Amino acid sequence: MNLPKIDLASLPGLDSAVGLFGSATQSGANYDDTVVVIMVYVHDVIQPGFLG
Amino acid sequence: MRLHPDISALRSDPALQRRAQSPLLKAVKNWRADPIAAPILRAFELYANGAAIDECGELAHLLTDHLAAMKFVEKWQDLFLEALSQEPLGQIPNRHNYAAGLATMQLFSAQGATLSLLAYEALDNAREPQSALFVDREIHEVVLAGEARGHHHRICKTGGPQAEIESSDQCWRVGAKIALRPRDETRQFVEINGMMLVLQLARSPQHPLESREYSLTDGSLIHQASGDKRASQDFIALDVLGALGRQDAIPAMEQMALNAAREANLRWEAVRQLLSLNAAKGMALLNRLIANNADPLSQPAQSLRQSLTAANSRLKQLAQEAGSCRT
Repeated sequence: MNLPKIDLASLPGLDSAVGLFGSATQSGANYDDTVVVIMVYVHDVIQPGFLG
Repeated sequence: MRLHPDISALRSDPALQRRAQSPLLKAVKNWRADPIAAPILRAFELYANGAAIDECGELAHLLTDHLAAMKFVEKWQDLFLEALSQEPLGQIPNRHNYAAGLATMQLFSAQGATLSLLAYEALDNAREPQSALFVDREIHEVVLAGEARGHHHRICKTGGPQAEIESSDQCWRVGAKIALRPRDETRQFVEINGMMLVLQLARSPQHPLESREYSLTDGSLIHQASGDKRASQDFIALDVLGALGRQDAIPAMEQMALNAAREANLRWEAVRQLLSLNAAKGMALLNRLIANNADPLSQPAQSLRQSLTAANSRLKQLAQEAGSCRT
């Protein structure tokens, strides 16, 4: 079936669109402590299950 | 890059790795069974399961009595320093992070709750913040060491993109307690004298509402960001699948778009990506959304279908074929 292609960029977002998680910056704030996300780096010295 | 021979040896030898980690794992076990920590851990688990702080006796006590909190933290330090002195290349199995003057160590974590130790360092270029971020997270803190100057902000009233914010200058010293309600209270440390150590209990709901950043000069809304990490991850996944042209993702997109329990913006992104991947299925999805008047996506779907069918007769035909088209 020959379907028309809709360009993604032509499709609007919602009026209530928000940025992705963590994209708020607090201009001028000295410590970035409002949203705390700790990325887990899995080094090759850590066996699976060793992280709490 | 030069690696210390001990680290190189560790990298290639799983037995050595296990040995390095062994005293730290033992420390975790001892910590969880410790007479000081165990009742607090039990109270923390209650809190993580939704109990109010006042219902979690040991935990509430910890956050109101800085001497008790200090004793608790010292116990943790003793156990892990002892383990590290045996195996200095072992990894502390608690999640931890260091960034721009702030070190974080999660002592306990369960569901959306964490009990963490935060160490703030003085910064050379400390500035007065121009905006403040309000997040969907309940916070209880007690200062264990050091002192800081900063501000407490509370949203008194919000109306559209404007908020009335009540700010007060604060000086936090040893023993100071900070309690912040989710969404409308926040605090900012501006100037730290030397170093400040804070014990922080925090809890976020399963699907946190968006974080809002307001200007402190005029109360205008500067930015909104999703407060739901999982929703943002799914949002990015939708974009990647769409960019890769993955037709096999269509059923999952459809399911996400129709799942009223998910964030509206995430569901709408599924609609956009699906329309772009397959116009026929996308138009059918719009029809289904429109049919449910109670769905917050019903109206946006109606507007989108209107504009798409007005601009393209083939799309109008597809919408009609999919049924229930009233345009």
